[in-house]
This record gives sequence, C-alpha cells and structure tokens, in this order.
Amino acid sequence: MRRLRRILAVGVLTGLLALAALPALSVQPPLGPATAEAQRRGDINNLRLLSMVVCGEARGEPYEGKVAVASVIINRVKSNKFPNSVAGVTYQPLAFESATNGEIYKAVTPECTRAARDALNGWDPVWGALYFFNPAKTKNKFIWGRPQVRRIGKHIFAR
Amino acid sequence: MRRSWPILILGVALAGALIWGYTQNRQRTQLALRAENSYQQAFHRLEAMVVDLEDGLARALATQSPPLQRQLLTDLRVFSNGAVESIAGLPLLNVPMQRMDAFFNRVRDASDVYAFQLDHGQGLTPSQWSNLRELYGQAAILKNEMSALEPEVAHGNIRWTQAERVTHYSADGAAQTPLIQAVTRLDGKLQPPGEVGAENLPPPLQRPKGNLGPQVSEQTAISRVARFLDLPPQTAPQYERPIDGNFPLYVISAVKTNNVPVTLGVSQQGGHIIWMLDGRDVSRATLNKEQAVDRARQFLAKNDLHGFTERFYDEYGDAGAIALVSLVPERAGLTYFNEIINVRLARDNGEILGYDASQYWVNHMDRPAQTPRLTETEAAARISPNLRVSNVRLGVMDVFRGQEALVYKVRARLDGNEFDVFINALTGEEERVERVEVVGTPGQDAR
Repeated sequence: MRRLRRILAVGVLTGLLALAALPALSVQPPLGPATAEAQRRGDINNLRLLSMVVCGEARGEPYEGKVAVASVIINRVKSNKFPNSVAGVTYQPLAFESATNGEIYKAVTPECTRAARDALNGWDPVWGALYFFNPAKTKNKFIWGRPQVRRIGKHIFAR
Repeated sequence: MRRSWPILILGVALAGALIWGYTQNRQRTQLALRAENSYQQAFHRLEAMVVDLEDGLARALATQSPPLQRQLLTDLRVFSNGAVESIAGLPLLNVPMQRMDAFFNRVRDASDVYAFQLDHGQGLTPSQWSNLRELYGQAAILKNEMSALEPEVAHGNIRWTQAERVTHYSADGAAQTPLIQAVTRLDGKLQPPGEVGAENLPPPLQRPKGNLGPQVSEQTAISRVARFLDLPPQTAPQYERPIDGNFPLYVISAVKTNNVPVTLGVSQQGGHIIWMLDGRDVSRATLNKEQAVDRARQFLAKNDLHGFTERFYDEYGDAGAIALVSLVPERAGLTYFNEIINVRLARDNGEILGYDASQYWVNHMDRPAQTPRLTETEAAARISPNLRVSNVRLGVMDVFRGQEALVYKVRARLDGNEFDVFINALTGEEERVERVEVVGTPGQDAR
C-alpha cells in the first residue's frame, strides 16, 4: 500500500513536471540563416516563405503536387480576390492548416525549394487553381462546391 | 509522519495543477481576445476603405479636370486594394462573397483603364461616366450596410472568432453565425457579378489571342506527347481528365524510362504541348550556359519552333544543376517579347525536365505588318539621358492589359542596375520600364 502511494505521488509529480515543460516544446520558427542558394537570390522572402508552405502542406506529396501547392499560392497573389503578397496569402485566416498548426516552421527540404522555384518561374500544373483540399479531411461545402481542376496525390485542386 | 507525506505531495500537486490550469485559462482568454482584436482591426479598416471609396467615387463624378480625375482614380485603386486586403484579414475565406469581390474588382479595373486613358489625353466617355455612377451607387449601399453592422461588431454582440470556428476548413460550412448571416445579407444587397474582364489574368485563365487550330482528340494529344518527350515513356501515357475554361487542356501523364513521372498539358485546340513538368533532381552540372541554351533551342526546333533567342538564363537546384532558359521568337526582324517559352533542363545530360509555352500560345498570332516611324537612334534618344544605352531591339510587346504595341526595347544602364526601356516605335512614347533582373532572381517570369 505504501509502495502504491509512493508510485502514485511520483507519478503525479512527473505528470506536473511534464505539463510545466509543455510550452517549451511548442513549435518555434526556424532561426537558421537562409540557404546559400536562397541568399544569392533577390527575392529571398518569397522563395523562402513559399518553400515553407510547400513543405508544410505537401511534404509527402509527389513533386508535381508540391509545384501545384506553390502555384495555388502564386495564383492567389495574382488574383484580385486575395492579398497581393505571398505573406498575405500564407497567413490569411483559415487559408492554410500548416500555418495554424506550425507545420510550415519545420525543416524545408531542397525539393520543396525547387518546387517553389518552378512555380515562381511560371509552371502551373493546376492551371489557375485557387484552392486545394484533402477530400478525406474536408467537409466544407464551400470548398467542395468550387469547380475542380485536377487531383494530384492526396489533394484536389479547384478554381 | 510517514503517512502524511504523500498527502502533502498530493496537496502540493493539486495546488500546482490549479495554478497551472488558471494560468493556462487566462493565457487562452488573452490569445482569443488578441485574435478577436486583430479581426476587429481588419473590419474597421475595411469600413474605412469603403467610406473612402464612396467619397472618392462621388468626387470623381463631380469633376471634369483630367489631372484631378486621374488623382482620384489612383486613390480609388488604393482603396479597393486596401478593402480586398482587409477582407483577407477576416475569417471569411470560406464564405461566398461574389458580389463584394466583383464590386472591388470593377472599381480596380475602372480606375486602371480610365487612368491609362486620361494619361493618353482621352477623357472619360459618357458610358464610362455612367459606369462610375453605378459603382458609386454600389459603394453607397455598401457604406450604409457596413455602418449598420459596425455597432453590433464594435460592441462585441457578434464575434469574429465564433465565425472563424464554424468556417474552419474541417467544418462543413453549413453553420451560420449572426456575423456570417450579416455578411451574406450584405453581399446579397449588391449587384450580381457580370462578365469578368479576362485580359488582365495569367495565361491559364486567358483566352489565347490567336487561333490555335481545330479541336483534337485525346488520342491525338497522347501521340503528340509520345513524340515530344525526349526520353521515351516506359508505359503508355495515361490520359487524366480535361481542364476546361478559356484555355482548355488535356492532362496526360507518363513514366519516363528513367522511372521519373512526367505530366503534360496539351491544348485541346491544335494539340500543342503547353507545359511539361518532370521533377527529377539533378546534382551534377557539366553543361555550361552556352551548351544549355543551344540544347534548349535545338529542342524547340525539333518541335517546329524556330528562330528563338535567349531572353533570360538562370541556374538553380542542387549546385545550380538545373538550367532555366527563357526564349522568345524572332520573325522578319521583329522580336516578339510576349511570346515566351521557358525550358528547364538538366545540366548533367541535357535532358529536358520542364517546358512552359503558355505565354507563347496565349500571345502567338498573325499580326498586320507594321513599320516603325522612329529609327533605332531616335528611340535610344528618347530614354532618360541619365542612362547609358547598350543595345536596341525592335519588337512587339504587351503595353497595357493585353494591348500590344510595336516597340524598341532599349537596354541601358544606370549605376549598378540594368533596365529595358520600351519606346513606342510609332509614337515615341516611353511605354514601360523594366529592371533586368540579375541571374538567380526567381519570379520575374511570373508576370
């Protein structure tokens, strides 16, 4: 019985310590310098932020799916209905799940940067799409009601 | 004593948990309030933009001085942009607001077109004046509706964060908060959107200016793809589904013999390859710039696209092993600056990894022959005397919202910067000035 109490007490203390440590585990934006490649570019912010969203939203997706996500952001920047900058589009409320859950702050792979570059250079495999969603995760009627353009990997792209 | 220490520990633990819970709750409330405040700020900014817009439109109607009209129209563009940016700061992404979107677009388009016209010495036509008047009517409705909504929002009777929760991507979107209802009601009071002008849209949404040819079948498109790829496909190319719109495409995918998937967009009219995307990573660079540009030109020639000259060159990816060659055609002494084709190739073996001819096919067409009224030297003399001219080229260029002009492209330098100044070859007017980007700056083709 005494042992049980001791175990219980230690358990409660450990639990409390773990809870206290929780805020320290929260996601932090990357603080490291931009890659050497990105640094030599004039438009570091666009490329860097775009690559971050590509990785945040399409990490595991085929290369084409990554370019497609970057294209959606660029198409929004060009559209009159969305903000005029990559940052404005990325951080628009409700726009990207990865900006809400911190996925965009995880390490950016060279493939994501390459995909972002291709989209900035004009490649658009989703031909003007302004929305994308994962059909398994989304019930939103507005998104489902948009005219669909293509399905790449797990995402449906729509105008 | 031995018996009481666990109780003590549990007591401390309970007190700790209570303090922790309280702190967490307080932080959560503060965070929610901060989110609500930033939405409130966006809403009030939107309201201010609408007030300015209504006032600007009213004053634009009341003046006939071109410089004053010009100034008011420029302000209107700023206000409509500001309104769109403010709406973007609200959690309304998944709420349909077609009419409001259309209204701000119409204001922006009108201010662009009319200001350009005024700059070229033409006053507003009666129908343009009526259009402004109609826009004023819409602005007045919007202003009244917003000011009716303002006290409700300002006093926190209806909350933005509540709207955010129910319109979240995972919500089904059917939930209606008082705020969403109010916004939907407000949108319904405006005019339904008419036909949207497509001339200012990026290539996927633009109708090609020329005739691309007759409608082709999916089978024809597939056979064109097989011929286009420089590595033969491993298996038969797969037909996905067509993309409709102003520039309809077939989408065809295949796996190349090196196991890399490749996707292509083929125009339904004429069966032209519009784009190709292959994600192969390249880590070794052996081809130099000259060889890469040659390879790109040969590839175009193989596909019956002749007379292309380099417009821009860039290297990126690991060790800069991917080359981007941007080219434009030259026909009968004229360079077509808007008929751009981008070719992306591997610098290890010259394999074509990407192809984008969307701007070429949107702008390519037969044009009536034009003769310049200015000589090269006269054109070069028209640019700012502070610049040092390096070369001059005659060609065709988009000058305003899809309108083309015969221009001299005068490349010139000022301090460490290089510029292309486009001088109209008929009127001598300076149409446009562009900065020549240093190699390695992405996005300059994203126009």
